Amino acid sequence: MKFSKLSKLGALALAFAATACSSVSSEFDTSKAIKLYSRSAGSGTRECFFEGIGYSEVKAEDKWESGVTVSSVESNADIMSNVGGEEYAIGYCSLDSVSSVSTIKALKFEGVEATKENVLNGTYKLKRNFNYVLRNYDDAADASKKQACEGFIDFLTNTTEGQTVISTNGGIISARTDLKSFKDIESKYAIFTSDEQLNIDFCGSTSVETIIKAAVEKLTSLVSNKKLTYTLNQSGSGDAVNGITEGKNGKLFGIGFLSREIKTDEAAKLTDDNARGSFAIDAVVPIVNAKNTSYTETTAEELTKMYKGEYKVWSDVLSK
Amino acid sequence: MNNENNKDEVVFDVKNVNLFYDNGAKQALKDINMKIYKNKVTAFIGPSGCGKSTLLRCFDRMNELVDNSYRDGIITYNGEDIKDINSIYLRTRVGMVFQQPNPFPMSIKDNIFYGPRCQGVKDKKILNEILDESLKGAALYDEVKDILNKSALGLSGGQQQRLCIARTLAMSPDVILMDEPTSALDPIATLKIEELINELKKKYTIIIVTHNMQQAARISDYTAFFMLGELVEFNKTEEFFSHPQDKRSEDYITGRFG
Amino acid sequence: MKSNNIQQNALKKANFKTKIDLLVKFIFAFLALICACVVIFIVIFILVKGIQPFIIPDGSGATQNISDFFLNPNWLYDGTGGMSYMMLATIYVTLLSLIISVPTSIFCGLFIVKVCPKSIKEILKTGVQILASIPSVIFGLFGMGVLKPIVKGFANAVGMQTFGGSSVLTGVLVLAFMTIPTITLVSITSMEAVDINLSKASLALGASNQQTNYKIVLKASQSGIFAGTILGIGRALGEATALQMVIGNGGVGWDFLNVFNIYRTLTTTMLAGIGEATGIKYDIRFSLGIVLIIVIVVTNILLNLLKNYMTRIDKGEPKDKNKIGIIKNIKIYLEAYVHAKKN
Repeated sequence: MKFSKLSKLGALALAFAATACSSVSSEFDTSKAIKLYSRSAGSGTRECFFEGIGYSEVKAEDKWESGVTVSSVESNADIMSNVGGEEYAIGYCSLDSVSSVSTIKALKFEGVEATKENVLNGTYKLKRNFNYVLRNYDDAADASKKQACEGFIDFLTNTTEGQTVISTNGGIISARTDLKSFKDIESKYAIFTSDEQLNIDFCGSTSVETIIKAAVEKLTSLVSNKKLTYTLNQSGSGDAVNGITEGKNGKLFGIGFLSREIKTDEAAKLTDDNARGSFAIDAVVPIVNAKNTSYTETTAEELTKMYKGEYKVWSDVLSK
Repeated sequence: MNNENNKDEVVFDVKNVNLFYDNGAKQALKDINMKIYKNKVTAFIGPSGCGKSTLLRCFDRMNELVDNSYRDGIITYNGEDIKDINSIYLRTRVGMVFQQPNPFPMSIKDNIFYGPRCQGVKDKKILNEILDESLKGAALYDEVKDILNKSALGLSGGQQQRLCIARTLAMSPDVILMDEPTSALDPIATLKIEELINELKKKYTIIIVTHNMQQAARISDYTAFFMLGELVEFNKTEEFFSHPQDKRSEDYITGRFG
Repeated sequence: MKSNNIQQNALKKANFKTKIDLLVKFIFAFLALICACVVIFIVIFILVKGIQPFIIPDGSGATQNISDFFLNPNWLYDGTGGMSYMMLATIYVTLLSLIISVPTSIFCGLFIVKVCPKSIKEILKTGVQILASIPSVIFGLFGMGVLKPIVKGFANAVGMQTFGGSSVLTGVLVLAFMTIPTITLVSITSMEAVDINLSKASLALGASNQQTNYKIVLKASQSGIFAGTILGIGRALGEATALQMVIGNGGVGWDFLNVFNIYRTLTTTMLAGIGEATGIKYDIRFSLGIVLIIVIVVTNILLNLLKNYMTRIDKGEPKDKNKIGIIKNIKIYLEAYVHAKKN
């Protein structure tokens, strides 16, 4: 162990640390390469995004063009923190998550800003439905469970309390005048007022977690049966239909949630007794780092070209 | 202990040395005063726990490896206080052989080369000269000259101890300290080492701690008898064994206690 | 007579004790067998599930293409894609992290065992033990929060761009941090086991403390340090969660050679998107699992052979003696066998 070697290593380490402290320059250098982020294959958000911009070859597989490097991350939170940490990044995430983070900025898509109103009136195109599908419970044996599930969906979709929960948590719903109050529907479901202890498991998409979690909290605070609980076991839209038909790891789920439409092979497993529907719309928003001040709106074509590697550096895009 | 008329040259001069363990709780050496003479064999004898090994370790400052111990008094080496001499340098001049043979887990060659290499000697010719000299000086050369590259751990106990002596000789010290060097060996190996010591004293000053009175009587020129940390008697060996001056020495020699 | 009674009872008890001994022996053997079976079961399960995509035709009547599995530089997550580059990346990342962690661990170990004052030695040792038991997820979070900005700053300083700090380099650093406590602990144990008399002999010959540390202590504990390194390699090769948080999960072909690029390893690929994977996309991860198991097993065998070789060198036996020894032994066994047969 010669000292000269050691001191060289030490000097390198010091340089390392020193540059770390001198962190980031505040100028946005447009000659820098565009850093592409995406959700990993299988995500409903990803499907929605790439379908929406017309680059469906990569919506479920990493069939990137040669020379294109895309960093895959696991969830909305991950992609937001990554884009927020890299000045030259571009990515996408759910609409409801964007406003709460100061390090990222949402882009206009085809000239339309991503807001709830624009989603509902159809001008904003990057969107998808949040769907649910119910387990086909046997009327006689599992009456309470069936009531608990149907009651939850009724609460969610038809009552003012339920709809408020959805909209406060980022789900996009159209304003309706035919909503009931919880009191009106409470009597239909005996499980809400009885003394029976019961737990219903949910499964499926992680994208719906915020909304459904809040809905569960609200419902359980409203019902008088305090022994009624709902547990979330979200692991991805792919598990929704399987969860309510076959179950997973020995667990039988009551309601499966999806952040996309039910596929044909999944639909084949369902019967007419499996109630299903859509309870909210989610929009996907292209995001860039907040320091990327000159880039404020994008089009499907631009996004496609970026993810195809035809635009390599930011000056390619910004000069248009 | 009548050293005033002694004409022999003094190598170590020990003056008023006390040694404490456990931050002063135990005293291992009490007011030791003695001289070590050049090219003579001095034997330290005494019952277990009397401090002889402790004093031996003071001569090359190996006592400092024990935590919470403190030595006062002065030990001089060729007139210089050893506390003022760099301990690493001191140990190149004062070598030590331990009770249990402890050859390094390397080849016999590398064991001998170890000391010189630590001092920066790289020239192969010089190293090989040192190798030959020290092995011959330790009376080991003939037995190992064909197996120099083999591991030192493959030698017998007696050979290993002689290797440790050769290793010490490779540093060309002035003094060799030996801490019960034959207590772990069989009688034949012991005899060989005793013969070796007789040869070595022509060139080196030797201090040997031994449990074996007869061994001291056989090989040493001076004998120091310790008990419970005190130096009871120090005299020329013949004098000591034939006319012990202290009652305790007499009791020990005649075997009334051990 | 009383002594006769004792004798009688002693015989009965002795017989009983012999039976108990036998029973306990069987119980232990049975338990050991169960443990071994679990491991074998896991390996067989993965093997079977992983081979299936290549042997059993799927819905459209085709099986996965084996040569594509070996040669494709990209991984498509739809069941197609090649694993060779990911395998190389896994090994590459582990090797780089070793370059950082092994010298650091050796120095830390030396410091704790030989240099630092006795009063803080126990505190440091406990600290290292705690570090060694921190779960990998926490290292991943540490990598995300602390290492990524540092690597990003460093990359900018040398004129390279990263994905917000995610890169092979960050992955290497996270792995290094994870393996340092493990290797340090084992190094400490093996350094402490070095006979103190050897150090004393070295000092008595006039070697300085540092010379003694390097020439004697390190050399004597090198097979122990190597064993620790094997443990560290095992941990690094199998790391998924922490690595996935910092390595970027992207990139194709030879991209991993540039440490500022993002890439993926076998483990992170098995983990990525697993929540939404079904059918072939799920099963193909088992095929990756087979590759990973093979890499780990081969690495372990090679390293253990090397460790045995080093231990033999430590003991001073010349290199070719062992080969001759084995052949000689075989000869002796054969001769004995033939001899026994004759009689």
